[in-house]
Amino acid sequence: MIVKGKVKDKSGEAIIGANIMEKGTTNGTITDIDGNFTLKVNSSKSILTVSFIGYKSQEVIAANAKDITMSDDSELIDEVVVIGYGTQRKGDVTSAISSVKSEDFLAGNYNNAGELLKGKVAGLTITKPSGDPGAGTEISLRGIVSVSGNASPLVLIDGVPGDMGTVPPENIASIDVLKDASAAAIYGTRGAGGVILITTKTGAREQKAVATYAGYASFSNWAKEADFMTSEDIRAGKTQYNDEGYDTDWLDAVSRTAITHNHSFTIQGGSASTTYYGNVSYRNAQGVMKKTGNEDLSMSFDVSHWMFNNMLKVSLNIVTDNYKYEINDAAYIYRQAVIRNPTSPIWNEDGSYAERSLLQYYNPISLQKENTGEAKSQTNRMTGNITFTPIKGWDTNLMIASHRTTGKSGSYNTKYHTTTAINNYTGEASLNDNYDRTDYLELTSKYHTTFADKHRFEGMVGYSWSESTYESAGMWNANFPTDYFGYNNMDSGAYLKDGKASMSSYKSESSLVGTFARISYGFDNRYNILASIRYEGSSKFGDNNKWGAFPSVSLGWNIMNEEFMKPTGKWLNNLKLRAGYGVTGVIPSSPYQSIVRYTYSGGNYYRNGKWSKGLKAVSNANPDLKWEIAKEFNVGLDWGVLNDRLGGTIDFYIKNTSDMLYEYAVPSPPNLYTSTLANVGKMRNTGIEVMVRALPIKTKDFEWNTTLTMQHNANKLVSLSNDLYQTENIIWLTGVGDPVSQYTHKVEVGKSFGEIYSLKAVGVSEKTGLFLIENPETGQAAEFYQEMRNDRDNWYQRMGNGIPKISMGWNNTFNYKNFDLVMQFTGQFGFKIINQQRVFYENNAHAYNKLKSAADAIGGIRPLSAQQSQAVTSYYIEDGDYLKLTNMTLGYTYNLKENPYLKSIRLYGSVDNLFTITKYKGTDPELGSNNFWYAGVDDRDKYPTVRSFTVGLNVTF
Amino acid sequence: MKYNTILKKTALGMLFVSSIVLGSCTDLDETLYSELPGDGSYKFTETEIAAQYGVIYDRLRDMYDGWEGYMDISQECGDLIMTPYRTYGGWGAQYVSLHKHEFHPTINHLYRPWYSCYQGINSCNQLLDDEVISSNDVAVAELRTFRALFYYVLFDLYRNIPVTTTLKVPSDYMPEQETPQFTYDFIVKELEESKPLLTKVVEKGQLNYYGACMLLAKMYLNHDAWLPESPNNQYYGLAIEQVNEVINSGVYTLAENYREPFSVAGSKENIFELMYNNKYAGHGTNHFCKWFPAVCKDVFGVSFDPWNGSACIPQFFYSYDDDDSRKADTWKWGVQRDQQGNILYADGKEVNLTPEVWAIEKPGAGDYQGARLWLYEIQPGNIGTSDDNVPFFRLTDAYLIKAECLLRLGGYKGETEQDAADIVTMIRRRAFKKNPEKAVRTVAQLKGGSVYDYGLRETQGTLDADKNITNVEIIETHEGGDDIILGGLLDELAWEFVYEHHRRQDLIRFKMTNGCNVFNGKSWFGKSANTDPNDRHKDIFPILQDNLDANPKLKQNPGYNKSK
Repeated sequence: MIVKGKVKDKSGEAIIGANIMEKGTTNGTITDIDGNFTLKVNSSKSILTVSFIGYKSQEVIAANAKDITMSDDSELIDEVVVIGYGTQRKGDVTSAISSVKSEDFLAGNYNNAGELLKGKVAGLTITKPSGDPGAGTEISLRGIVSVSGNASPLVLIDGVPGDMGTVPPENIASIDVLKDASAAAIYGTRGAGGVILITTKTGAREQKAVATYAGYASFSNWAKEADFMTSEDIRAGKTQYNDEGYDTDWLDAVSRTAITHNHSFTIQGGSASTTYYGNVSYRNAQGVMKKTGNEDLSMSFDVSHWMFNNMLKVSLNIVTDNYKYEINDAAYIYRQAVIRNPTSPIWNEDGSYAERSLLQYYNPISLQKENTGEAKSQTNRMTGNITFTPIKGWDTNLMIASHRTTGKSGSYNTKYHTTTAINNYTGEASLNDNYDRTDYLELTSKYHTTFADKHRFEGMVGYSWSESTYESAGMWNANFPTDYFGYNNMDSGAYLKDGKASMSSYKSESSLVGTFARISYGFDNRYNILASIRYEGSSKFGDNNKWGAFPSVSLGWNIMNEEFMKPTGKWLNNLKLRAGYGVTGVIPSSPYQSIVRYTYSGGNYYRNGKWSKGLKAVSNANPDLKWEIAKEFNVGLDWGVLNDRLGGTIDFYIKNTSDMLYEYAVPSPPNLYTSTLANVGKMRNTGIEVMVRALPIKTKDFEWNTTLTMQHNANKLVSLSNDLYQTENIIWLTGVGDPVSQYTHKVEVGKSFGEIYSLKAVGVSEKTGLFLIENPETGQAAEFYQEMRNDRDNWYQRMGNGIPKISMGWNNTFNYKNFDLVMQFTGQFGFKIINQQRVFYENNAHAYNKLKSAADAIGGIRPLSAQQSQAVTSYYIEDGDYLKLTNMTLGYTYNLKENPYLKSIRLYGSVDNLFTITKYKGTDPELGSNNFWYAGVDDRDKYPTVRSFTVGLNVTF
Repeated sequence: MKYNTILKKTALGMLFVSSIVLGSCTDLDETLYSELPGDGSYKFTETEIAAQYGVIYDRLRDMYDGWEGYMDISQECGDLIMTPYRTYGGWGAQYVSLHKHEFHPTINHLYRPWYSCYQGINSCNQLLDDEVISSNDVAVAELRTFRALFYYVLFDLYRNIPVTTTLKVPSDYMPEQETPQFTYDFIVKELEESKPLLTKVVEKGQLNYYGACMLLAKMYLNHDAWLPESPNNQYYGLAIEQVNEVINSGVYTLAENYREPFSVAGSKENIFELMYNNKYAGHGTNHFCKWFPAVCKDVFGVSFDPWNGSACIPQFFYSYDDDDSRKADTWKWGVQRDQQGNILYADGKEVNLTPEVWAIEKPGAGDYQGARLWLYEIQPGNIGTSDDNVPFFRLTDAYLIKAECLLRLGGYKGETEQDAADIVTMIRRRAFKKNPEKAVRTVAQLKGGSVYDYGLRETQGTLDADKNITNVEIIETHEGGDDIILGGLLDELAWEFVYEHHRRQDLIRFKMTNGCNVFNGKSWFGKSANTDPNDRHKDIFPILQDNLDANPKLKQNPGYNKSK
């Protein structure tokens, strides 16, 4: 018989693309744009299985299939998550994996997938410390993975490596995060930092063509401005500046209200045998600092075709991205703007820039206006997949992909540019280009079956190969006869003839080859086991250690499916215990680290009556160089109660890193070079991650969904020595630069990274206006003197740690009829910040503009005297705790069922970075996590963060 | 059946693809494109091997005149110049502990001489390990001499140092420190064996026969100061023999005027120079940038803003005879004018460089305090001194070594103390051209006390908002220089070699009647005396903590244990 039916959700909306299968056969179809389907079945008693992501699967008898209403899959157990080289039913998952779907992404002024995930995955700390529209997010998963290898998470876009900025957010369907090593071990040497799997949208079979437009405009301004002395303060004699009689708002002069607009147009659809998806996105983003911003035009096209009775699927995917951004030294211009005398004019009476003779003190308008610079890049990602499915359950896939980027950047400073003029150049120009290419080949074959109803089996083997080539070239020239050319006539600069222009080029290559296998077995939906291994080699390793093995095993126990749990079935929906162990690796970040290399960097020398270039070794040999090993044990619990209106996960992990890559200082002689990259140290990260989600209110018209994520990680450096490479087990770091140049951090074996050490200021001397510094041994206070700054053994004390103890995200979604409101909070707690802006400018010993607070009496006694040099003391080390309303979005959706042209329209308004609750005095306590060596240092030259107001429109045609 | 065929075809196809893939794609060798591989996979040509000489010259320049190099560390702890904390520039703090003789293992200056000397030694060893080079006696002699020069500097500063002569060592080899006696003998032997093979031809920038003489002379001259346990007067005689070879060769002649050795044009006086060239290897920032206030760039027509740092120690400034032209040849002070003769102004006031300075710190020095050095020729243009070569050894040095040894020995092989006085007089003549009778120095003057007004001499206090000093505390003691043996000669060395790499070595060699050397036993501006003649641990510097960390076999020099 022929069954005709319609699949709807509980609100009566058609479900597009739902899967209808005749049970026990391979016969099936999917619903069309109106939710309708037609299927020829054996008999009216045939059972149809109806499934769709996000809904509970259900079985109906063909005769009753006219009108199928699917209920939300609030249990989420059947949800499919993406794991490495495949997918898994959530209920079968045995390791720590988080999944975020596109409908949960934040709406706002975002161009980076990292921002969509912020605060949504427990264990994943995502921060954006910069207001530069081109800046990305900084991501750390489960603490510090590696001290010098490449330890950022591996980001795979449909299986091909990329980064969080590779795909415009509009094209992303879901993001899955493999957090623990039992999940990531299948990625071997690239897995230690975790793996982020981005799945892009595609068309669906039997789908009517749908076109959507999504667009928004955003207006940004500084989130918070630093409070520097104004011209009135200068006139009142509060700085060393003379009153020059003008009133210039320097920051205002170099910044603006930035406008960003973003447009995205998508067409998707499919016939019975072919699907397609095409998208074009355009973004033009301005920075709040003038002359910063970018333009991005990206186009993607994806087509899949099924052949031979669905036995063969061929997919072609191409993404091309044209990106352009303005180059200038915005952070430095920002510094010059805040420290400049507000009574100085911008221009002299003759129209030239007003400059003053003071060290590192330049007219910011000149730096900004007299520089032009632009970087352009074009990225092409081409992927082809052939999937062969000779029998149900056995898929063999060949993927061939190539990822190529070409870039070109040029920069020109006119002869009026301050630092150019100081260097005595009449104009200087640079021009650089680069080419980056990686080719991939991956062959996987997997099989899955269920037998005797209780045994689920999956197996997979694969081979992967990739080779990367990087090439770059650059040139620099100065003393141009005219400013007219900019960087477009490089040879006209006189420095070339003088032999002082410079030129460079470079090429490197590396390859990575691996074979891998995985088996997964499940018994009766109760016990699941998964084991995998990857055997991988890299050209970056030394001759003695080219290949390594990375095994993993994990177990899952769906407790609620046990017989003895029956009595709890009324209120307990889900209870699963997971445990996993895996080994992952970290690869050296650059190639050629294991061999002695010579370059002509040995200085020019005069011999035999002429100048020649010296040849010098720039590395030592280390044939033992290999991957860093991370062994991680994870245990987790998933739970859900009250019809899954309340649920969550909790995970504990211990991650032991050994053979840690580190550039060890070695004695020279006998070594040619003074350091060697070697596998020596050990580190441990332990932590806990909690995610709780709830649906506290659910009525016909109103729904409140809330999700809280929280994580805590403890880091410990276990060792930095072995027999061959030894260190004193303590590394002191200078996290605040010239002219303060003072120790700020002590990295010590047995302790965590990020330990801040400094001079403890207990007050100010009434007589001299110098800090009173506590002697840690005697507890007595002594007046500050210069040598204290270097005397780390006698005067420095621990001031806390710069790495947050707890990071959290709190996401709330309210739906009322057609309105939706999202409020996303993020926060970090339990860390200290060295406020560099205060170190430098809340001080009276320098000749620049100061923070107003420099005039405050410390402890009610007096301000610092002009004799107290700029120095880091505990006075500038603050609590960083903050809670931020990262995003608030209010949207309204019109459903236009009757309109022949439009299906729906959604309007929304959004604010990013609306407010921050913190005691921190700097512009923003949200710091990056990449530079954990100097955790807690808030750079004075940072591009301050911004607040953006966005209005957006999504239309479905 | 149909399935099976397809299956078979697929399997075959997969096998085919895999065999191509696996066959060609398990190759993990690395190919270098922009660097030369040193793992033996590529054989260096002769020109490429010769290019490794570059490192020797480069490291020589760097260890000497790199930022915080040998010249700097040899001067900043002495009684002639200082880099006080500049109260409004906000820098100079890093020199305070050197100046006050509060040496500790994390002083920045300890890094560069150690690092660059050993890099230079490495390059010498590497070239000596080469078969072709090692079969050429002249090449070997030259490399051993260069290497001895690096060891000489390390020995002077750190004394207890590792000595290596080859790179062909087991991979777990960690060098250990040698005794001072061993290292001393090693350096002398290397030089004595190499010297006869070296060329006597003078070529700019090259260490020839006479350079080796000078280096040997330095070794002998300082023997008793460096190995105080085994004093032996005969070494002064050996030093005279060495400098006599240089003097009597007639290859070098004294410069007509004092500044000539430091000029772009160069001088026949210079025996061994570190070569600089604006285009290929510009001279760094030690000579102009480190000294002058920014506004003074107009004095010389230099475009680059100097950093307002170092100053002449006032006591030394006042030790000059007013008719000694070396004073004005070395120092700039008073009201400053641009090249057109117009007075320079800053903040509405005349720029007047005063010889007086408040203090090394607390509060430090005012913007325009302290006379500034312009010994090296400052050319209009970028950094100012980019093209100036550095005279590492110059003929005046040879003469004054001879004078010193004659005075210490009371004459040698027929030459007398009066001959020593005549040498000093000859050197002084170019400084007293207008007043020649003042050039004359007698034996008594040279053997008598120093005219340097030793003693603490600071004006400490705090600064108010108008840059005026308040809460003044005058720190003033008077020690004078009468008790310095050969004090007159020590003064002469100061005026002559003020900003060369001399002062620390000289102060350690010259003694006082109480048995102390001048380096420890005298006070000067901000630096207190240590009058215990038995405590000589500051004669050498501690080894940088980072170097100790890199090699656990190294021991810190005596008296510098990490926790005080």
